[in-house]
Amino acid sequence: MNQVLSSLGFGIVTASILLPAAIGFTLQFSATNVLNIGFGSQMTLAAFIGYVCTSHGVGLWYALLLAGVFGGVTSLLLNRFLLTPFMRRGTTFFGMIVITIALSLVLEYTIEAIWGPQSVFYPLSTGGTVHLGSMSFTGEQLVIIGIGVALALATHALLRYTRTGKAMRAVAGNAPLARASGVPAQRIVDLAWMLSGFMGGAAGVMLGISLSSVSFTMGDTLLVEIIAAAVLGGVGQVYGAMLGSVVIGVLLEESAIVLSGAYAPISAFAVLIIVLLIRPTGLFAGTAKAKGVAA
Amino acid sequence: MVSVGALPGASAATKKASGSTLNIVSFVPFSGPDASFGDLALSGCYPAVYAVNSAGGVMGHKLACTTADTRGDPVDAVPAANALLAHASNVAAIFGPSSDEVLSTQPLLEKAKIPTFLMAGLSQYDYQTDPYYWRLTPADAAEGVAMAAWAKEHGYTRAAAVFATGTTSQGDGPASINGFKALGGKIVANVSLTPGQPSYNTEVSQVVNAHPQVIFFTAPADTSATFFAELHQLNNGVVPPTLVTEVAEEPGWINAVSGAIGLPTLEKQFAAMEAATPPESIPGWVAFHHALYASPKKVPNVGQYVDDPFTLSYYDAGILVALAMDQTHSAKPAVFNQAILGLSTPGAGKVVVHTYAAGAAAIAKGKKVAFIGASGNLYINKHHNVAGAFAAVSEGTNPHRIALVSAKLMAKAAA
Repeated sequence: MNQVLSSLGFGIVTASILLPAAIGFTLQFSATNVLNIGFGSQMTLAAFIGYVCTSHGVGLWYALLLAGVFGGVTSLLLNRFLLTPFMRRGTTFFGMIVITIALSLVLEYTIEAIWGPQSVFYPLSTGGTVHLGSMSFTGEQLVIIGIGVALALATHALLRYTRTGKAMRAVAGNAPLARASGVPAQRIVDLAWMLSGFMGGAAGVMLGISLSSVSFTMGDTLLVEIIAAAVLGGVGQVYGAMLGSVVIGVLLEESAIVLSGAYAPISAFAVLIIVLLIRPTGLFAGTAKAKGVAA
Repeated sequence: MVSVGALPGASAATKKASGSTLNIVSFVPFSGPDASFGDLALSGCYPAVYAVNSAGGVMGHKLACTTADTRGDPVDAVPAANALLAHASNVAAIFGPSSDEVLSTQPLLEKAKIPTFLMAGLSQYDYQTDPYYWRLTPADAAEGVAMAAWAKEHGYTRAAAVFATGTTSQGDGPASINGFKALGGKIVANVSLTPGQPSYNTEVSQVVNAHPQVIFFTAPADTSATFFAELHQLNNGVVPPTLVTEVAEEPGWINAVSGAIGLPTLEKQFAAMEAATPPESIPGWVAFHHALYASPKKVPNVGQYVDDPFTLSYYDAGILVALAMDQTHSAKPAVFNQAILGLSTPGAGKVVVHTYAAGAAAIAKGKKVAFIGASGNLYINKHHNVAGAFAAVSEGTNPHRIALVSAKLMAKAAA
């Protein structure tokens, strides 16, 4: 029982990192219909920017904010100058996936060329630990949980209570209809890419803090879990991604008790396969069907 | 490809004439990415041959160092091995093959029945039984053996083995576990870490719950940082004494783990096992050093080899081969090969010698000898492997040697 609770604590931390990552991934997909496999590498790039900031004396949490902003701007530029031209030429859904795979590789090797193959590290405190029953958290882990929850609530507020959020939901639901209704679709798409990049950038730094290191393949390693969380919730469903993040994050840690730790990631793959078999639209059906991802 | 011209006496009759030259063939890469292996083998061969020849040769024969280039390629090495074996009658010993070509050429070289001194650390040869194969440098797994010996030496009886999945750990992990058990220790947790996981809390919990006195550990920097950060977290800020491999001496590893648990903890609790050569004051090394510079044939930049474990071991191998010939009164490898083990092992009634000349003179007087050469006491085990000399080195920004690991305990752990 103690082990279950202890793992639950780590699962909450992992879920808190997956939250902004999966929200960003699915938010962008719902608005643009581009399955961005380069998302993990964008996270990594932002995490390295966070490292540059901290190595120049910027505080860790300010560095996270700056990395998020960098991620947002980079994401916007990548969409404008790389992906949009392909979409205008009528590149197919799968063609766009291939382009984002290429983008992922280019980013990954660029990071390696600049910072080298060795991992880099944030300055972390090695101070006390907070115990909640069998669960224990470092100060940084508590802040990560706080940021994850805050970003999820902010996304909820954006989508539910602002005109921009409603416009994003409209574009996600039916882009041509939204355009016909006067919604500035291109601006909304830009915003979706920016928010996606910001979320990914923040998640990249959070992951680097949690791992105590930042490596050039770090984001790609988490991509399967991010996709699993998004699929579980229903591709393109932001609230589904939130629920999927919590389930996958906790499942990853708890499954390590039953399976060997080495096989724990299998649980994410297993969820992915089972959901696709039983409920291809995910727990929150809707966009996936509309986008033609699921039947 | 082997160069026939590189094998003096290759065209000689199968039956050796008195005074013919016997060759020690360096069968390693002399070209390609691992071309440096060639000079490494020759750097030990030249001084050994000089030491023997300047003492009048062995049984009327002069020795020579020759070469067969494997190019470091398992495919190219096969015809090179065939060419070498076609002229094997004058070959007294083979220095090599290296890890690059050892597996592809093993079936050929085994048939030759010539003493073969491997330059391959692969774990496949840790318990090998071919009587003609010798490995006088530590196996890749030797750091694991050193961990076991160091832990035993310091009175630890309960250890946790924590190794990342990967080729290096495949050697170190089992070696530390088997070695510690052989020394009477108990492995209370045996944990594998798969690099790239978001957390290792389950693995850490296994270690914490087992209450080890010491941890044997090898993993890449990023995996290590995550593991030790969580160990620090789940064990109330306490990290047990931890023995790591040479990889952990790299600055990237030190930065990673010190960032995760703090530099003071790293410096206090961690020690790395590092291959060590004996002090330059021992008589065997002094004799080697003299021969290295006195030999008319030298490898380029010879000074860089004076403390290389491979150079020292190949020098010792050359001397052991010559003494084995003297002891068995035979230049036939099938006959003298069996004397090598005894000559390398000190024992009651044996005269310890440090040079070929002294050994040959003692044998001529009918005495039993033990050769302690440039590498010091080799402690060759029944699998013709050596544990090698290892030192524990502190971790941190200013690493320093703590002490040599007991060679006796290492030999016992590796047996």
